[in-house]
Amino acid sequence: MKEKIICLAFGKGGHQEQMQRLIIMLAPMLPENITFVIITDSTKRLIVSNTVVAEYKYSEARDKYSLTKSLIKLPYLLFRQLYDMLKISINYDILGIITTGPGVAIVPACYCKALGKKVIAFESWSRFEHASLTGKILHKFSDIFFIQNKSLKEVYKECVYKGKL
Amino acid sequence: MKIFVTVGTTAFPELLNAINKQNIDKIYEMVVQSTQGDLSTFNNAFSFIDDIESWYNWADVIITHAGAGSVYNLLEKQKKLIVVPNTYRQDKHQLELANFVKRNKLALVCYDLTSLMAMLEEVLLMKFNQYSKDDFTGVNLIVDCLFSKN
Repeated sequence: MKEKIICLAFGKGGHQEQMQRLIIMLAPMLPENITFVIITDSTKRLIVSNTVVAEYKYSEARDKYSLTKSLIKLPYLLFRQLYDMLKISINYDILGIITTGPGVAIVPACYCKALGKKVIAFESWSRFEHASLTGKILHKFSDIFFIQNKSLKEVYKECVYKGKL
Repeated sequence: MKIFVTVGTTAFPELLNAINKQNIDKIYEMVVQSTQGDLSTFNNAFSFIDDIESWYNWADVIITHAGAGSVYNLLEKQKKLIVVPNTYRQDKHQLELANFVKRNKLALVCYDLTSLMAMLEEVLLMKFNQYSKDDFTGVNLIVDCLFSKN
């Protein structure tokens, strides 16, 4: 029988900080046999008590200063992530994916949804008035889409507010 | 006054240049953290450290980019902050958090880098509101969702 895993997808900086805070609360609530697969563009280690069975690291999906560089990088990232997700789904029983954004999570979340797995996404805690690009995409198909600032209720039709990480 | 400058994981050369131009590290005791850019012009600077908390504790005032990880952590520690949104990025989302900080009077927000020195002179004298938040309570919802059949 395949090992049951949850994918954790997050970017560097504040995205990782949100995931770190979530995992501290979530890990004790999970059965002991649940392990994690990490999907990230961060080089800093996420501290988790559960076993991490695999870690996939990518360069940032979006160049923060150049749209052209982003467009050049995206096809490579897309194919690499699809290949890696295929490997993950062959080797493990995916329960779902949890993401705190940003773009590094889009392909893995779409892949999980296509397999009928659960997708749980957080809009960034730095968003008060406008949706992020990742949020706009993930909001359309997430099983739960959390916002972390009440003001975003006017931006997203279906979202859940349960406070801030 | 001891000042710690942090720009997180993203380059923010405009802020570092402004500090240089205004000779801030010649006047105050200052340490700079930046993962990118030329740090050789500063007396005390580093790119990355595991124990950034010790520098947070060391400083009287922290100049930080408006990255949420840094800002929320520092507000929770009730540090005196000057928040500088990085508007040179492709997306301008740091402005949303900076505006939130300003609107709620949680710290000083520097929209114009030439005013940095003037802000340093006033920040210690200013009174700010204490940051508070609704702690996240959605963990059970996540667990239920992950283990539900439909």
